Amino acid sequence: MSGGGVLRNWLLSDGRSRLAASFLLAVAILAIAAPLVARYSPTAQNAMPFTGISWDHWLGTDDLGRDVWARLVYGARASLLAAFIAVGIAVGIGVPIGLVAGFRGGWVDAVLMRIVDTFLSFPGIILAIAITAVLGSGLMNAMVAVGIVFSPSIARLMRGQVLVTRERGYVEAAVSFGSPSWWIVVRHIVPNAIQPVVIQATFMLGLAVLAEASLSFVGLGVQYPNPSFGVMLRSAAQFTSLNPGGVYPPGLAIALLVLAFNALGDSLRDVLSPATSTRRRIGRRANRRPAPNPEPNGASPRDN
Amino acid sequence: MMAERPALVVRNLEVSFLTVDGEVQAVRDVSFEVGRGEIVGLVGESGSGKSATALAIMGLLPVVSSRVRGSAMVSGVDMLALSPRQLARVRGRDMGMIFQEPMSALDPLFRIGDQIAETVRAHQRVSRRAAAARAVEILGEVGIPDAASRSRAYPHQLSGGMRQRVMIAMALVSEPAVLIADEPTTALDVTVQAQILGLLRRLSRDHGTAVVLITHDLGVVAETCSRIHVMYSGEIVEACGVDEALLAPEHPYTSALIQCIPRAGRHRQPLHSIPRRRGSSPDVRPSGCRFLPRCAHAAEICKAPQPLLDLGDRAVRCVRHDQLALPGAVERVPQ
Repeated sequence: MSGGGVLRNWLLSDGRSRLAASFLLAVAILAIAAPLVARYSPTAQNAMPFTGISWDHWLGTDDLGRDVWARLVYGARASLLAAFIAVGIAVGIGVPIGLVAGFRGGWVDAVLMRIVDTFLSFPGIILAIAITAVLGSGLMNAMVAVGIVFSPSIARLMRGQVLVTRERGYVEAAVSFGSPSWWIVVRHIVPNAIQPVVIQATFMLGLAVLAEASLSFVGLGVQYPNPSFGVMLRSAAQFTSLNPGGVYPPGLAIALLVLAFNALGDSLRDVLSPATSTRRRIGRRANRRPAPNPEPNGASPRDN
Repeated sequence: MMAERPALVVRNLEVSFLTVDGEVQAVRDVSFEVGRGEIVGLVGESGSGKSATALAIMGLLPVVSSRVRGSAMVSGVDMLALSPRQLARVRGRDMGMIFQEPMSALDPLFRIGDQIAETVRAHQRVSRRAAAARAVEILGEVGIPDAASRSRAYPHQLSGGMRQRVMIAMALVSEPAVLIADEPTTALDVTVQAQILGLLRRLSRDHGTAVVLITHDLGVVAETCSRIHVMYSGEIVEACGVDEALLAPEHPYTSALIQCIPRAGRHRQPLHSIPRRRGSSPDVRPSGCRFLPRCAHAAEICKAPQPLLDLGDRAVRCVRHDQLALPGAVERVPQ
């Protein structure tokens, strides 16, 4: 497979995805290399509170005199990890459920989908809070909760895709050539059904960053004294009167991260769905050089 | 007749579908046989039960919502009596199927060579390499130039005709005794259609494959088949050699179908069509001849149930067949 080549082509083909991908890559590198780039421990109190921006403390210090840059870098670690764990759990639960429901149909489908409906009928964050209340707080439990909250929509999506794919000619053809049904599921149905799930999962990474921040903000996620964007935002929000700029580092970090994941998902959707990608390709070509006007009377071809 | 045992013998095939309104019969009393190396046409308009017949023989109808009765013997084994597991083993090995849409019958995500190799490996214990080599070999045989490099192409990189060739290659790679071709050329343009039909003829002759060619195009039948079974409303209404059917049809429906073919030389004449809507919707069928509401030759006697009358070398489901002089493809010159 030339999957790597395809991936590279896609990332480089489109300015938006290139920007989003490089931003995410930069955040990931900072998060992984946190001990090298942070300069301070994220939990050590090594200065006065609210020193403001200085060479010693790039983004100042927080209410307990901890370095905000260090906390931001380590917080990125927690937030990214949290996002990937949550989406991993959502996909890990949702895809098999959707696959079984869609492929088996009948009462299995009915039972699984009613369970999924039940989960979908709760507001997500409330459900996550309820699950965390049962599991106990902490980053891992919070992410399990978010993963469970996200899994029904993945299951729904996967089921719909399986239902469509199951009726495709190549599935019927594979049956008529005597391929065993497990093979047909693994080889034909899953690869053809999974694309929208990949796109949805990319969007979900952004949502998971938000969910982690929200849960940490209300105190159910990352626990004192460890940093995450949500934790930082909460402590900064408590001291807005003393240090009004304090909300910007974690706030902007959350916003940019979510924006980057969304842009990536958007561009992925455009690339993977044939209709939109054709339109975009035509649009891009038209931008590059004006199309020769086929109308001799000068009627403008510029209708979107 | 044939000395050896026919490759496919279908007897008293009956297919019905379970709907919310109860059981609806789609195919009734269908019997035919196909010898080795023979191509037999199954002709009829949409909804006449052609495809239901094919899918029933292949065991591809949904188990929960359909009922199949009768028998379909392929090399002495009744396909309709097999368990799903046994069926999966013989499908592809003893019988293959070509579908109407070569665009959708190939998985867009995999190279065509891999898809053919998959079919090989479903039935034979061979190495990946040997299966791939076999795929290239069969691709060459179905007339794909430069088969070795084309086997690494994805379906979207091939034209419609090429894709149908790939489908044929997939269906034939395990050399099944019976091949069911469900409208294999409907989605193709006319020149490609002629090539594909020629290919089917050659492969059928070379490998002794019995082919059931399902189509609504009498031209395709005339070009390809030795015998023809005309279906109407789930029944075979006429079964005979292709020349007999085209020159001297015995059933009014066969004759009407032939008249519907537009032909050159008839200036400014309206195109012929069979009058009234298709009266074959399973729930509003007349008890007698099913073609009765649309037949130009209907009489009182036609309201009685119609058996398939055996006329020796042909069979027809029409009591009035010997009273009618029906036009065929060649105009009778008035004398």
